[in-house]
Amino acid sequence: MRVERRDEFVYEIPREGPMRVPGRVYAHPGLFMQAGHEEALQQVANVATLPGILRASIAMPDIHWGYGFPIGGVAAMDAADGVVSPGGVGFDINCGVRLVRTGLGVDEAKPRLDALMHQLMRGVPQGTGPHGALELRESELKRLCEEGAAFLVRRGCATGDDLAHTEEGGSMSGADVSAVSGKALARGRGQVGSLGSGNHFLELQVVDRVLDQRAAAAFGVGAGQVAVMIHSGSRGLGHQVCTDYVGRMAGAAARAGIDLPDRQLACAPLDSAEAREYLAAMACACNFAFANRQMIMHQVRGAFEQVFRRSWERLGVELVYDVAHNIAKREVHPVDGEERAVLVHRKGATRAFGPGDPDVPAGYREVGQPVIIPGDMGRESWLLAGTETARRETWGSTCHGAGRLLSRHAARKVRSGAEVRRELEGAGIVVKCASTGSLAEEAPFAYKDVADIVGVVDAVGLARKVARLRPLGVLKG
Amino acid sequence: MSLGFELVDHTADIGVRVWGPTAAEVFEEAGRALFSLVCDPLREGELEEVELELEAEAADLLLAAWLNELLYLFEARQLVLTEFEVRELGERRLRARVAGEPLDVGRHIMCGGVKAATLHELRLEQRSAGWEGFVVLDV
Repeated sequence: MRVERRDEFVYEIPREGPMRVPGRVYAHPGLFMQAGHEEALQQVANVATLPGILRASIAMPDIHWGYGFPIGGVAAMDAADGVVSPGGVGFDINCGVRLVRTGLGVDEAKPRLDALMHQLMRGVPQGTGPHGALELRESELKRLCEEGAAFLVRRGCATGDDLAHTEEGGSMSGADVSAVSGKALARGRGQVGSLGSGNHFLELQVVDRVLDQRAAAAFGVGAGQVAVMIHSGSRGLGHQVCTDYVGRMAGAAARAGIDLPDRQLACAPLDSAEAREYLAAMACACNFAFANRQMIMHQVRGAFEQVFRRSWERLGVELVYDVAHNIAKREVHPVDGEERAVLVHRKGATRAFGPGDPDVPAGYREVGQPVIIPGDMGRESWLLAGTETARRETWGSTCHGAGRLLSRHAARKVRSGAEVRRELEGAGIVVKCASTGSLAEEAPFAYKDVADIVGVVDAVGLARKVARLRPLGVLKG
Repeated sequence: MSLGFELVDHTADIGVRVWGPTAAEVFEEAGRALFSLVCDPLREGELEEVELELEAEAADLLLAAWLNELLYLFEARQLVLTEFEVRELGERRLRARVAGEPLDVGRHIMCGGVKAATLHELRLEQRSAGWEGFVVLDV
């Protein structure tokens, strides 16, 4: 495949064959040629063939080989003649990250670190299976799917402030539970308030470096402060919604005369019944995920109260922000000097709206939307702020994480889970996990260094560095 | 052709290659491969049986649909499946009986988990000596 370097960190895949637009990859030269890059770049080119795609098929520096879309992909489709592809959102619909700050300094928390991690492990279920923190009847689950995190306010598990600090206010519009199958509801019913497995985690962290004082102050974070990062999604409900609609659209695409280079790119024209129903069901799964992360945060607040014997309000356990990184959204963006309605697919990419944007919470509007970038569990994670450049260049999007370097199997061959545990503990990080084997799969060496990824998006202006966080304790799914 | 499966590296996901003398046996073996990534059985107690009927627009899509149906049975019906018997298999239709242990969260050991079977690089092919299937699982 032909790839041309356009700038220090910008590469282009020129348009050829069935591609409707070029591909554009933001990458660090050192990260560019890593394992699986050929396949990932082919996937960027494949996405460029989808009907209605505007400007470019974009990939972020954490790009890696996925199924259908690459992970780290962004594609905006014209709202009038474009398509929606459930594979462009992924199975884990609204997988995302939430950053919770506390009023505790690291010196106050350190002596209670073991007790706190123990309490978090008890309060936040991990792994696969049906055992979330919230028991729901089917009628309640249906309401939760339509209302999102707002459903939890009446139950005393969320506040108005929490909703204000969640993307979409924690509630996607257009959610219609009649588009969600009984199977999806059955899979999700017992799972609200659970981490799940794979790369999902909860980390206790400390803010170890602040690079942008003004933005950090607006976000309520400062050096030495203890924070909690939660990474989870829509669990079985979202997985089943994607499965159901990929199945339906595999046929729909062929009927609409769309020639797909990969069947996982199955899609349907935005004005079709399949697309309308998928977007209604996807919004339900997004709401499930917002509520799931909210419920996990509620459990985190309880754990802090147990260990420190003060109310979470007095401990200052407050939500900084909650962002989605697997989602499709109707947004309005400037195209050729005109405001245009588009459907933005973000598959392993984060919304990153800049200062002054009306969709950024009032308290953050002067500095831009908080963007939360988890790294691997041994090194660091980042808090960034959105920019106007992202709005102009990448449909208001930036990277979402470190990006995998080694496959899970390859990672297991490097070191065992027990060895990874010893290394993390040697670095002073408390580790709790459902399965030690999965520790090896998610070990730091299995990921790119998130500092390189964040360095690229900061350098090209797709987000701005605000603060760095280091792990103190890890709870793995 | 003998019967078996192997897990194949795929950066963020896992590929499963399955082979067997007949297509039906490939489906059954794919079920065993899937559960090797989901949950270890206890091999004790009574099994619960489920009869399945599935349809899809092509034989390989049927293979993905079959695996997704088994995942649904694990998560929603809470069955750790150990027996897979495909009774009837056409191009677009499958009838099967599966059986498994009711999930005991305190005792069964989970193995990482699988979100879904994808259609990426999905195939089911007849070879000279038998059948081979390939599925990428989102884990």
